Amino acid sequence: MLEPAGGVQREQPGGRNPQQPVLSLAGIIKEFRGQRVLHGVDFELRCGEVHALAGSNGSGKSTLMKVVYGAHQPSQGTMEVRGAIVRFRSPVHALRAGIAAVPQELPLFSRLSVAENIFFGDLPRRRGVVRWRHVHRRAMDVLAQVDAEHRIDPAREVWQLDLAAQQLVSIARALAHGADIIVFDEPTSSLGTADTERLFAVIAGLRAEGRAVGFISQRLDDILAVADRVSVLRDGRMVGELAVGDATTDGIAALMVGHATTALASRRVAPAGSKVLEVNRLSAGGHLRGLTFSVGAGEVVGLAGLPGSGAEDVLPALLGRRATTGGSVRIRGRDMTHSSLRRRIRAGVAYVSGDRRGEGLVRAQTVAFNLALVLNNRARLVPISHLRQRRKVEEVVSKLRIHPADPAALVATLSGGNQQKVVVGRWLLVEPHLWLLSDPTRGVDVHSRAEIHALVREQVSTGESSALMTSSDTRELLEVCDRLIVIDHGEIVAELDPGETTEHQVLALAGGASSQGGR
Amino acid sequence: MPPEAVEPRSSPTAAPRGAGTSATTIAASATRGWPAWRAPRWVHGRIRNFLGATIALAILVVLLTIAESSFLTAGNLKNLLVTNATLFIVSTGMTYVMISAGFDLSIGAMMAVSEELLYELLKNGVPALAAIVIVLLVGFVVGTLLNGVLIGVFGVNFFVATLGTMTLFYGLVDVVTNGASETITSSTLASFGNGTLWGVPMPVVVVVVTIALGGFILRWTPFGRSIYGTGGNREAARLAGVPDRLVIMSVYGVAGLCGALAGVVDAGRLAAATPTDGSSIALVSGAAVLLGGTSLFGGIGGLSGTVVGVLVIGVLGDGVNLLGVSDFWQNVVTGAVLIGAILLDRLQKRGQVLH
Repeated sequence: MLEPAGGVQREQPGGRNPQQPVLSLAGIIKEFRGQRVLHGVDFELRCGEVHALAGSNGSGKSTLMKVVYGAHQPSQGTMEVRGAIVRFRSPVHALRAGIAAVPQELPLFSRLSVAENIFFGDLPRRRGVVRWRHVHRRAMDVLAQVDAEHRIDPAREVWQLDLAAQQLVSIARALAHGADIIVFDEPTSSLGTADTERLFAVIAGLRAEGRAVGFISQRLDDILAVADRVSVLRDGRMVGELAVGDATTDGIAALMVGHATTALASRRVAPAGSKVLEVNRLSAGGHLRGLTFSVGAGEVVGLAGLPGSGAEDVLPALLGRRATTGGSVRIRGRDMTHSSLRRRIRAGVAYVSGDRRGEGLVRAQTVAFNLALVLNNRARLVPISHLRQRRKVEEVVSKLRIHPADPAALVATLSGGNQQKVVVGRWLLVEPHLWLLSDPTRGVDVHSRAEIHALVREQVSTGESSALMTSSDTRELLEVCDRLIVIDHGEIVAELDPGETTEHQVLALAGGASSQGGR
Repeated sequence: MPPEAVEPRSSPTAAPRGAGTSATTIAASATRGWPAWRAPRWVHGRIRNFLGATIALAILVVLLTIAESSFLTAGNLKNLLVTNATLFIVSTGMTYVMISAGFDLSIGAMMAVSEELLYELLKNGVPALAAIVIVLLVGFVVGTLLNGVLIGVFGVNFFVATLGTMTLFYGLVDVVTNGASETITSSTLASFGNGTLWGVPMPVVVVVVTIALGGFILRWTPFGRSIYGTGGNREAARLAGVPDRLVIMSVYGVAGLCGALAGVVDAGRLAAATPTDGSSIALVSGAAVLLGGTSLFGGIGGLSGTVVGVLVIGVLGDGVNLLGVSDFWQNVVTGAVLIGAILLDRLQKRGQVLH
């Protein structure tokens, strides 16, 4: 597929009828362990067209795209490429059929050169020996196709490049392998404005060459900027297809959410007491640009924003895990801008993450150990009163109805919901003042989820403490929070009352509706 | 629950459905094809972690008692404990390090360093007790500041860091001694190695005190619990406020201290400073700690298991000796027992449903 002369087995992409779908999926059903994620979806890509796929978290859009590029095999349904029915075993198999993916996590070999990455798996050889000079020269040609021959040195190792450049290398790799169907999975989520525009120019170039482009994004303004057509997926079903000329961010957001949603019933207005957290012009590189907000005692505040908007950088910055470049953070009146994570925790910060495996649990240990983790977090040699600790631990186990109610059970044998209760419960032993909740009910069953929400509300309602929360599920923010801050491009773009806000308003605002004229 | 949350991570090379064997069948046979072995109900608590080693030890003791009448005598058992005193002490430090998800290859080199330091101090007229205290302090400080800082603060891989310090320590000892052993003549030190307290050999007393104190700290203090937390999931521990760097630094300090203490005991027992001492003890003690149910990946284990692990290796060596078999066979048998015990452990873990 690499040699333009002699190696071409397919007709030139530009030569086909643009109305003919080059790839079409029909009735695709995908199940994971009996749970249906895609319910019979139809989808097609045409030559010389950018077809976007929109949908909120969990709608199944990533799954659908993974089916397209061979990372998932459909449970039912057919897939045709250029009129022939195909069944891909793997992404490599799909690549041989001309389909390439540029996913969020770029699977490049970071310690190999750009040139080797581009041709990896099919290095030009003569009698089995790699022709390195040839590799580098040809890499330049391919990089020129994505307009990067002056920006990227093919001899560089990939880890030395920034994310935007790595993305271009991924695209170049797809082109070098002869792909004429290219699927982008959330490509703009970690790019700045300038890099995003450059990427769009490259995508426009691919379209002009007659290639078919699939584009998944939650950023509705990006979709409007780059796509010709947009399909909307909701809960594993295709709910609409629009020509971009007719679409607005608001219209797409409404389709993503469904028309049935209305503003949730207004909750009691929490009396915002003394300020527990004051954030003043907080900046962190290009990710956060001068955020100013505060959280009062007795209040649950939500942070909404798409991946890459900066919303997910706020909690790490408040914890002291992420370096900040300006501004100040005050917790209960004390300046903690430059304090260590441990100091902040001593000052009453509790951090609950939905990433139980990575950030939550010591999986090799018991429930009791994990609950007592915060209590025992000092490197002291003073003896512990195991008896008193066991009593406290048992209190939490029964209060949170952790099942099984056995503190000696290995935490890894619990269900996801009960594991998450352990992550939340450990902080009850120290009575924190500021709960930082990062997607606190990810992968948690409905019942435990409601219990965790109730617990947070109960903790906050004492009037002593408050909570700041992010979630990949906008509905959760609307249900739980008293106030919602929407972040885009590292700035606060709106502050909403969840009682008077619908999910699609939040999605539209987060997806760039407020900056629609900007791009 | 959003549907995407339940997706299994699919590898690009996963076999397709319907093409020969499907990926799900392969996964299923990997978990179901092997027998899952469960410890019986009456086996409680911690001992589950080193049940394999306990069984191995029991079988060994029974077999040796039958085969060799001199095995189960007070004299032989005393001899067994004294011979393995350094292994007990070193394994105590190694347990700390391995619970923190690390390893200390330099722990044996620390023995050689401390013996040499002890010799130099005594030669220069430092009183024996003071010299011992100094040596122990140096072991702790060097362990903390060299291995501990490299691994805990700079994030150097523990294998690389301690391989480096091990080489460095042995090199330094050779430079100072020119590779020759030195005789130590100190009655205090000799009583430390060969004396008795209420009829119990001093090395055994040191072992008991070390293990008791080490076990207490591990189990009953926040520092001890923090080692388990840091080893089991460093990020989670850090986010719960555990001072992870300090914990890792201290753990290598404890290993250094134990290495130095083992050096003192050995120097006392042999009345000599040997530049090659401890050259294989790090790996042997690692095997003992593993046998004792402490995970290489950190977060679980304890000293009670380590005691059993050391005893298995010690009894094996003693038995091989008594039966007049070549010493070389000892390693063959130790290796086989290690593999068997750990396999048993794996099979037991299979029986548990993890989420």
